[in-house]
Amino acid sequence: MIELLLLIALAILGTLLGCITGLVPGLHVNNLALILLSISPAILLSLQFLIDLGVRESFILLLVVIIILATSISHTFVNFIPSTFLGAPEGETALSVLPAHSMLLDGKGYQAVYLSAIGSFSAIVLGFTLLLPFRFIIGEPVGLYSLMRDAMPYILIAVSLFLIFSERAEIPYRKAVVAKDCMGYAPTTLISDLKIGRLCKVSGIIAKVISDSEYIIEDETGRILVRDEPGKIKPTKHLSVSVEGRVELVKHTFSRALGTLLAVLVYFISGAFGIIVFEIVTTSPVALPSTVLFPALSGLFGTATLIHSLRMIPAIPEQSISKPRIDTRESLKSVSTGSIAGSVLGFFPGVTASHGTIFAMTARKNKENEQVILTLSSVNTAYAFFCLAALFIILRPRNGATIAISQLIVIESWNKFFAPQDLLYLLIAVLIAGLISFFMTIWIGKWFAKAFQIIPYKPLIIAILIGVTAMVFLFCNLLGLLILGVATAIGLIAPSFGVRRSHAMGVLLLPIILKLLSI
Amino acid sequence: MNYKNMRFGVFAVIFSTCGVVVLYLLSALSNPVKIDLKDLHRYEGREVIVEGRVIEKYITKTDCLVLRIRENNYTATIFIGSFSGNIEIGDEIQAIGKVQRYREEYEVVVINEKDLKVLKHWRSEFMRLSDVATMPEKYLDTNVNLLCYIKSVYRSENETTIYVTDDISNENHSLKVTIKRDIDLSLHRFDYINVRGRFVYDEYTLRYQIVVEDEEHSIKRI
Repeated sequence: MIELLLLIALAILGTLLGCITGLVPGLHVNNLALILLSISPAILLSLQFLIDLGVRESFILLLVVIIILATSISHTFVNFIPSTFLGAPEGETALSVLPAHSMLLDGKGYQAVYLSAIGSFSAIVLGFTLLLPFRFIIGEPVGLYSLMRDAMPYILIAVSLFLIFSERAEIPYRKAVVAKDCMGYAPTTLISDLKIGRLCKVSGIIAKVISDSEYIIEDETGRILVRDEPGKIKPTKHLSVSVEGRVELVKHTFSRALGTLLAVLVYFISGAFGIIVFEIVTTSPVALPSTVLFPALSGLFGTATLIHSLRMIPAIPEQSISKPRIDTRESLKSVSTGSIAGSVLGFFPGVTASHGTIFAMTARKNKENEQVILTLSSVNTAYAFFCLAALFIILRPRNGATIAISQLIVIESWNKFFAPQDLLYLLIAVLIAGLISFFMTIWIGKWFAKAFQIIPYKPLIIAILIGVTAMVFLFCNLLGLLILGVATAIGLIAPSFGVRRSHAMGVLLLPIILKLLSI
Repeated sequence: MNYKNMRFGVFAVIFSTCGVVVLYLLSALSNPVKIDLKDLHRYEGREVIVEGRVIEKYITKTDCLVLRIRENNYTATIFIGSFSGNIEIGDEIQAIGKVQRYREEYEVVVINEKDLKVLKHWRSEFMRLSDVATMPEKYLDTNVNLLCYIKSVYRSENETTIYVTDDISNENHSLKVTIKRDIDLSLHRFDYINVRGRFVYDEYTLRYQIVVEDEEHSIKRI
């Protein structure tokens, strides 16, 4: 009885801790797990008094694990709040930020958070129903994981190719004069002297007509595309024209190919970075456990996101506090798609929830903001849930939390009908964490919606950046800071060009693929 | 997306490419590289990081510590002038040192004590028979810390022999444990116990077994 009470108490404690860490913008759940793992001896020490109360030593270790797990689950719920209100998404939530921001700009930030809490909690409920079928499909008797193990590198290559070629970003690359009435104030400029962002007046002869409003003109120094107001003139070849407007980069038919190329670039730079840094050994100046994963992931998905969000702070209207109205049937479809995507990917190495979001969004055709948020929130939580299941079914840790768990307790393989006792305890903790996080997310979201305009956004982000940098130094010394700097630069490429930041997961995927292929 | 953002992105590409190159040079030039034991011969004269499980340990006449470690069926010798820490057979260790050739064999010579550390202590690594059964060669000749049930007990004048299993109801694996030292414990069938002993291969019976004989070995009821 005392064990059950302790389990509930520490699951609640972990959940509350996750509610705090989830509010830190850019703090990745994997980093959080590694930090918790590093302080686990201190947690263990503080729980030693339980031995006098007759609690087994092995159960105390399980309690430490419960704190880590509950914190991670609660973190996946709550971190949607800073993503929505402060614009600093995690790698995993990056895709859902656009619909959440769009709702925020419509004064519906609270509704976005509410939907995300529903999506995440539904994923836990669905997770429990999918758990047993997955146990028999992935493990024995179907043994899908054993069948896939040999093909794993090729599966990961296929996943990487899918992620890269499903990139939809269109990168503007071509200069054009976009017509605008400047009332004669724009300076007359030769085509070769045109600078992006400047107002200008160019004169020349139409060299090629693209459409009624688009044509290419040329003067003695070069050619430029003109995007004119429709119907203003009837463009014909060799017609002499004079256009006033602003020089801009415009989208072009080939720009999606450029988006794909940028995705390849981000994937391979991250991959090369991963291959190199995993050969590097960092040490802590204060004898803390050190791992290169900490600065690498913090830079790619934490500090990069924070710096990017610092550069663009939008003006946000007052928020309304009302529950969202959703189509139950569509919502069920969204949550199921998200949960299945998250659950399947929980079994693959190097593949994370951010990849799950791409698969889920490809499968889900309904692109309404509300449905997208439901889908993507359920992917994140389902992924965290099934990483735990994978640890017991295939005995492989797949995310930060499960790495921490596998290093603290003996993992008993789930190869019978009933789950091992430790897994049952952990599932109870997940349920408690999910239930409390659901209400906490809604409550904190409501508070944020009312009060976020008075939060000093810039100083907060700068303080977090300083905090992360200090922590990296403490855990990984100066070398860690260098790794953090390079990772931040890589992490900034994707959001600067508007491609998905999940391509930066090449940092794990590429080294794993090469290792599996024994290259 | 605007042009300013894209320009920032271009700077990010340039900076990250330079950063990756710098990290590569740093890792190649200054940092010891982490290598597999099978590749030790390729790194003669270079500083490397090796990891493995201790299978043999002894102190030389000049008080130097010599460890024999194994990783994926390859073994190597680690040599350190003095070491005040505690390393036992079965511990998983990491050593940073220079590769040198000694009597036709490559060994890693560790200079600083802090460059030799225990990654996982065998006493804190609880395992079941199924773990040992999947990769017996990984644990061969090392200390193991096993959680198991007693299937049967046999006593003789000099030693006690027990057979242990993971699960009483479903005996997937069974292993012999030979107890060659006094243990202050009466053992009974179906007891759930923690065995700390050396996992060895008995050439006479062609079987693996655990021998409980050294000071660090023990049997406890749970």
